[in-house]
Amino acid sequence: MSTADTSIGLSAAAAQSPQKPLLARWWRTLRSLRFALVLMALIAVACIVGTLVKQEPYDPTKAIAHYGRPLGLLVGLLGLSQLYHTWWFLALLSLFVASTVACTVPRLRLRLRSLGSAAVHLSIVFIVAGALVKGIVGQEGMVGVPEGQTVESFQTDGGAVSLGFGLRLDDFAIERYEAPREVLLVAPAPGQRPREEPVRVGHSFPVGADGATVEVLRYVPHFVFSLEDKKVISASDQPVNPAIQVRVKTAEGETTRWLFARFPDMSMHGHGASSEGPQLRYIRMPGPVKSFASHVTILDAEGNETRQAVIRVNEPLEVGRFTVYQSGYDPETERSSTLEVVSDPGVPLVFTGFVLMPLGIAFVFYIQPLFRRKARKKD
Amino acid sequence: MHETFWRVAFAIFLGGLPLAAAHAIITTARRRAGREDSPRWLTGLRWLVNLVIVAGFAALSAFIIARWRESGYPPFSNMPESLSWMAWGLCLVYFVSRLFVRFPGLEAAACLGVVAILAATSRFDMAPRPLMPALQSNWLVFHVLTCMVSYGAFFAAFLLALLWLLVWRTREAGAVVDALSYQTMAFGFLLLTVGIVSGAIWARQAWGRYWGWDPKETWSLITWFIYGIYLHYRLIAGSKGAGRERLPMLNSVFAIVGFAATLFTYFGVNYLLPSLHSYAAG
Ligand code: HEM
Repeated sequence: MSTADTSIGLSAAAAQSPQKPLLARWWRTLRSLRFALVLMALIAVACIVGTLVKQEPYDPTKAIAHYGRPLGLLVGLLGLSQLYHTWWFLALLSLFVASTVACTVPRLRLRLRSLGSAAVHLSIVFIVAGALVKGIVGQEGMVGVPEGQTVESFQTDGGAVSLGFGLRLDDFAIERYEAPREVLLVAPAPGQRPREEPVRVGHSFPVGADGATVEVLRYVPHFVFSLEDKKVISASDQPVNPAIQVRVKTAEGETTRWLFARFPDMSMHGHGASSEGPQLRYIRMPGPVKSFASHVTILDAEGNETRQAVIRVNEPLEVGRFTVYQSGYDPETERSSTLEVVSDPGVPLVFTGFVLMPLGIAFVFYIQPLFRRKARKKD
Repeated sequence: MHETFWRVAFAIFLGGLPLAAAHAIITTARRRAGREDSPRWLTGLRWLVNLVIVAGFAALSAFIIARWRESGYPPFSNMPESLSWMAWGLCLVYFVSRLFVRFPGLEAAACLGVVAILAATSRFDMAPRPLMPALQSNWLVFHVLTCMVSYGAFFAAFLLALLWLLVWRTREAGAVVDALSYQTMAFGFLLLTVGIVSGAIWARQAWGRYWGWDPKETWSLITWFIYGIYLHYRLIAGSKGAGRERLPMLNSVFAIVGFAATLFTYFGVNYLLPSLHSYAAG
């Protein structure tokens, strides 16, 4: 713990002896551990600010409305709403890496004692180098693909980028933990507390105290009003636009109406509308999603099928220089997949750092003391 | 079944707390009076307290295993589950510390810590909730385990800091407390590093990027920097003779500030800041 020699204790101020040329003074500052600590603290403070200010493109009117005039202008001036990409934050990070190198390289000895911390410090260089590669040549973007269609490019912030292959979505599969929960919310009159009734054709039940009743007459999964036949039909057996028809009997008479799960506040009345009387809402809540996956075929430049694959969340697909991720889907139809496409040649560098860093730290804390103890015993 | 184990664990640690506190107070009072010996009944009390902690740890482990079997998914995805691992990590740190040092108050701090964590756990909905697609990965287990055990270690260091500031501020205690506090935070730092790195690897697998500056990630980095500054500052502060005596105070300050950042990373980000990670709340 106290093996560090005193050179690291030098403060930046003490390093500024006037005879030294400027470059040498900078170098000594860069080599000082105190300077590194100040940098770390500054980066930490900057990060805190970055989590308090919403990260989004700067909009002066919005910022001033939200933070007040002086603060709102400051957010714009310092780029606080896109803090992690500002020149000054990147400069801080660069200085930090430079400082890490300056602290490590000149002190590098082939001794066990400096091996662990050298590995840790080196791992930071790997990680930052990898991030730099990503920033310079990496590409990332999204593409939406409906079932049966093929895409050959994806959208990035800088425009469309060609994949160099075709990707056809053969099937989009979504699996849920439970069947959808369907209920009819019924209140005797506007403004009163609703209760739940099951959605079952033929189910009939009283509403309120004045003898009104409701009966479920019909269910269609895909409601369409056919203009030719002048009647309601189901365009498919998929729950695209689920609707139920109910008959409401009150003292004033009888009405039938359609209720829609997708538009719970709308109802299509037959035989006269009523904004009085029993209030009905048809609610359909899909069960929580268990998994969703894109079954795809990869096509080469000539359009020949080269392979089939399934892309799931947590199971991306590597094709050429791209990695394709299952990102989302169209919740309306559940038949169109959103894929994220990433090309990041910096990843091997970053992951090397990721492996090196914990190993180096574990070495410093748990292996080096063993040798130190042995050395002490020998003395 | 798992709810029963949880209640048993909570009851055991809650029952152990006054016993442990009594042991700590009596031992401290005797030492202040210059009596270093430990009569048999006091040693017996210490044994009893440690037995209670072992039993509580067994019940806590049984809770985790039972929940795992009953819910059908690894218990690492919501607050009650991850907090249980934090308590588990705190116990682990306690047992290892106890192998090396014997100090009045250590037992009481462990009981208090676990009781506090379990009490916080009970404020959340305990019902198991099936895993959403992004969480269905083996990285979930590794990532949450390492992060939560590191939080347990940082909590232990925080409790040590309180003990030192409030009770132990004597010169003789300094060296032992310093070593214990330093080792605890170093262990936490290693695990937090593994936790952040595994989170980054997982993020690359699930979302296509290893780092996105989302508030949870950023706060974990801030926390990591605080403990990183501590480890380096120690190298400067402890290298001179006079500096050594200030180390326990340095440890305490960083243990408290670091744990505040840890808490913010864990709770604050979910409830006070918008975050991609916030689906893990609840
Ligand atoms: C976030 C980045 C960094 C991490 C994670 C890190 C990690 C570590 C670790 C784990 C140790 C061993 C600590 C110990 O023995 O108790 C260490 C030692 C050290 N670090 Fe860093 N470090 C970082 C950045 C820096 C920077 C920027 C500098 C210099 C300006 C620096 C200078 C040193 C020095 C001089 C030692 C002592 C080396 C020795 O005696 O073996 N570190 N570092």
